[in-house]
Amino acid sequence: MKDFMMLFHSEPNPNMEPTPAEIEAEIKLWMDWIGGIGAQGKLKNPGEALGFEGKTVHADGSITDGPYAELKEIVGGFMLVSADTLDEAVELTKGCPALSVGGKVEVREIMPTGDLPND
Amino acid sequence: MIDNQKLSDIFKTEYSNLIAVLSNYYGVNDLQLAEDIVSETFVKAMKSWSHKGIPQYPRAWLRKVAQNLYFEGIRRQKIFDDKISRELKEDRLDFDTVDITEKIIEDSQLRMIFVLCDPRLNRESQLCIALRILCGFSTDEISKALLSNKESINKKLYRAKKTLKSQLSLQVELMEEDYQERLDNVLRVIYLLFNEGYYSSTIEEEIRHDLCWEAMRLGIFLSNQQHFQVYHVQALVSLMCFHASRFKARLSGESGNLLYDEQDKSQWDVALIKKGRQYLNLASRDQKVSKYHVEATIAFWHTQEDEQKWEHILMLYNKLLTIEYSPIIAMNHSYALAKAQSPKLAIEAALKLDLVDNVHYFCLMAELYKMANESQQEVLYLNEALKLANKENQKTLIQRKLESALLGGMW
Repeated sequence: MKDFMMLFHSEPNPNMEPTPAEIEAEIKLWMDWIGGIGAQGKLKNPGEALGFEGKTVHADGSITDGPYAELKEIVGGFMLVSADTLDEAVELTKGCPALSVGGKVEVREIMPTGDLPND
Repeated sequence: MIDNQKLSDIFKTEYSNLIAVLSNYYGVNDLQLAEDIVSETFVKAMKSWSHKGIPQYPRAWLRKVAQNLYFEGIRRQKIFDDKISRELKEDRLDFDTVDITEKIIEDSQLRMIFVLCDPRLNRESQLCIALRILCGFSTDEISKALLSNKESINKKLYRAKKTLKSQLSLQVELMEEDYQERLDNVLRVIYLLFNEGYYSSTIEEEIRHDLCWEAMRLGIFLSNQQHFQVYHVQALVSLMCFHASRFKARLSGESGNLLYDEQDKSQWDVALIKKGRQYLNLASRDQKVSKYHVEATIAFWHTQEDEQKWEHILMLYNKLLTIEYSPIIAMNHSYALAKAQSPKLAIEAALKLDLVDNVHYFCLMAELYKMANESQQEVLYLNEALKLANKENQKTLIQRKLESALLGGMW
């Protein structure tokens, strides 16, 4: 089993003000999908959602507001899963709520860092 | 004639009490010595009671005999020290009198649980030895509870005892942070104990009430302690109360084992459900949600008649799966999905579970197909389940379902 990171990309909409019921429905969609991966024993870490607020630090020392300055899409959250192959990890994205609202899911293998075994 | 069931009940409960107290005096590092004394006590009891019958106060009798054996051992040791090995003699601790009272048992047991769950012993060893010493589990029961085999458990127990005796000197005086740090493992032991009672893996009658009550007793006892934050303990106690509320209803069927849907809800124990809710409320004062919180909340919804309940249960299983994976949780998740959304979706999800050597998995698949009105598939999976079943009443249960499925298919 290898570990993969899923990165959820979306176009931010700062004007969106969802109602509590909408937020709850959104969470439910995500939890149903994550639960399905968990049931297969392939959920490594449910990860977190990221807020819209942010700053970007540049190599020249300058700091700009938010990640939106250069990017149309931002990473809205991440999650870690386990799978034997990249294809299998990609298969797990089926049903991801991000995909049904025009977002994207990026799946990347996590490289083993070659640390020593524990025992 | 003596009543064997009664005898085994007495031995089972008194075993851990005696070990806990004796270890207090011997030091926990020599568990074998304490175990030997308790065994000898039981042998004496068997001999004496088979002539005279069980005495009026059997527990007091056992405690007295264990006390005497302990003193005898000390006397022998003293003679050996004074007359035989005078030159080798070191300063020994002075042994005071041994008292075995309820209060001392309580204190010793609490300390024992935490001492045995020493993080320096590996987790499996901790569990083995705690199940053996605190719960009086046989090697067979331990191996089933930990999904392992007898030989490997025997080895683990042997190694753990040896480590305790020779390498590790167990810390007997525990500080507040030790209690807090070890609490997780202690709760796991209690949880396993309850589960073993609830879904007995070795015994034909499905529920072993003695184990369940013992787990609940330990849980309630821990929830009254001041040494550590007790929210998780309260959540666990709540979970056990909700499950225990269905004991009677579960066992009231002809074949002695009714599934949730078949149970007569009027037989659920209202007092225990109420207790469960009280503990869940107490546990909910904490910000952190443990798996016991989630499981207790699921068990709470099961006691409710509410249209939305399966939606809630599905959500909670989703949450639980982000905390921990186990095949049982995964299967319950699929079932909740069928109830909350649709059997078709649940079948799709359940086919992805890789549990093909698990009899419960085949039963689940059969149940999902039944809900989807696909009796051919249902029969197929029930037949597979029958091949894997190893307990008599499990076979009877599957057979019963098979008959009704075949009957249903004919109409």
